[in-house]
Amino acid sequence: MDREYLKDLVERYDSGHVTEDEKALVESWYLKYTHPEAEVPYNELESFQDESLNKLLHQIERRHKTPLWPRLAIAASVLIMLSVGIYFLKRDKLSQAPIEVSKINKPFIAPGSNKATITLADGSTIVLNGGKTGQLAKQGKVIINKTSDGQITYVGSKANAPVQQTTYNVATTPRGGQFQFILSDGTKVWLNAASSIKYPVEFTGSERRIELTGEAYFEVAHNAKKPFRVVSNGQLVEVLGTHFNINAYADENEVKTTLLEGSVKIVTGGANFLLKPGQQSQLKNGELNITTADIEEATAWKDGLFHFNDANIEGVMKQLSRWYDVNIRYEGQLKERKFSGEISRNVNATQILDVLTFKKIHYRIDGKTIVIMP
Amino acid sequence: MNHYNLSSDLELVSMLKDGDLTAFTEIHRRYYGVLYSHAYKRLPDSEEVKDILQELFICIWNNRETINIGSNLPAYLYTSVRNRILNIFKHQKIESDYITSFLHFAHQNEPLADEPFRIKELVAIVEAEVSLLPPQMRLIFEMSRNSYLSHQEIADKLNISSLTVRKQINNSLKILRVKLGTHFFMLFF
Repeated sequence: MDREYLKDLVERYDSGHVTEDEKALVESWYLKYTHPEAEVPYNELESFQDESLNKLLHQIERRHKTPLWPRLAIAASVLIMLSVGIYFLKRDKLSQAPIEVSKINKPFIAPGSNKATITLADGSTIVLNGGKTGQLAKQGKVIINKTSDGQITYVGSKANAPVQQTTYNVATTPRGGQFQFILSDGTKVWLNAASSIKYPVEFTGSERRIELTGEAYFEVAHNAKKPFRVVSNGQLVEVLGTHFNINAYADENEVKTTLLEGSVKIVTGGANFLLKPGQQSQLKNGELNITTADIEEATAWKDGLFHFNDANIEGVMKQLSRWYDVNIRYEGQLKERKFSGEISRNVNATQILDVLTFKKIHYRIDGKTIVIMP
Repeated sequence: MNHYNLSSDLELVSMLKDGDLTAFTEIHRRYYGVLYSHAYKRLPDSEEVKDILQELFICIWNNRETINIGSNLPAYLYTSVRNRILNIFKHQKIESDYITSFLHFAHQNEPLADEPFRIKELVAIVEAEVSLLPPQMRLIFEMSRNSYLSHQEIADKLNISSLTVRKQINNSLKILRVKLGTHFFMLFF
């Protein structure tokens, strides 16, 4: 048996033209074979797997416009048949009543998407939504790039340009928008809807200071020499490198800082507090309160979910209004009710509102306003 | 929604045949890690291995109604990967090291004549590599092999705390939910 024969054997094995003995030989050798230099990249396996599944689901969804969920579809059609049945049963009684137009032609309120605006130091703006990737702008030594997966990155060029005055950019998301940025120090920022951050294009000084309105999740790149400071609505959060979420919407009555990893220092007018992982601070009327955090509730938005834990209707609707870019109006006397649960941010607003009707809360859509009523 | 990760391979295959995408996702979640690590040890080229697995999974989904997976899902997956790797060897232009290994083997060893035995060996070899996977992947795999173990029993087996087990199971469910987006929309209002 020589090399040529074995090569030929592997080829024939693939096409199926082998005897039982030859097949046994190839397969038995395969059992013993490993490449002498193979070093499996175990720590990347999970990301490979995610990447693979994403690609598969993407490919499958594109190919099948039909429901992917036969069971769900069956369940849904049973429900529809039932309601049609009930409708026909009740129709005689209803036939006198005028038809409610809003129920038949219910407007559909699409969820938010990735969109944001960057205002450069010279006042010009870049609108970010889908479309163009690659270099968007260059400011001093720093290039603003948009990667193919839609992130904005700030990359310092290696060129030895003279240090300039610090220039600032402001990234803003509208209602119904969110975006992800990587700052020039490698810090990742997820910006929720109706929010903005102001940050230097390059962190040249002895600190990394940014300003936040609204809500953002940070994964701060570690740099013990340059503390990262976030100024938001009456508080300053100081970190060296860690993961945390700040919810500082002006229309919420408190600023909530939730720590996932590492440690952060909360500095308010009067006091300092060192937050531990799993804790949340609430700043309300200048007073700082520390509780055990519901991490999922605080960061669900970044994973594409609404997550409510004993929220009241106002709390639920505030989140909906920011994501679906709608105003909320209340009519009539609503009973005090608490909501807990999790729902995708990819659905239309009406799909969520329909669920609320099970809790005896009804709604009407009036242009860009959702009217909530008992 | 929890029941998918407690389903046996056999149940998953039957749900897959009915076009159940979650069952397909669960098969992927269960096997991607072992398949990757097995393939990479024979073919240390990450892109090539990813392509092999991508084609294998898309082929399984597209032909879910007709393919004959039989009663042994792992055997089906491992032999499919084996055949795809041998197919790549076949196309390698330059003199590769596999031939040296093969030559050596052919001169020193007796082939295993019994096919079912070779398959059993293959399954054992692939699954011996599970212990090297990242903890979460390993957990999911081990759980699928021991569907009805309690969290505590799994924790003891993997030598981690039962809190970690619970957290990881929740995490993986959450990831699945986000991935599947609207289709998987769950509420407990």
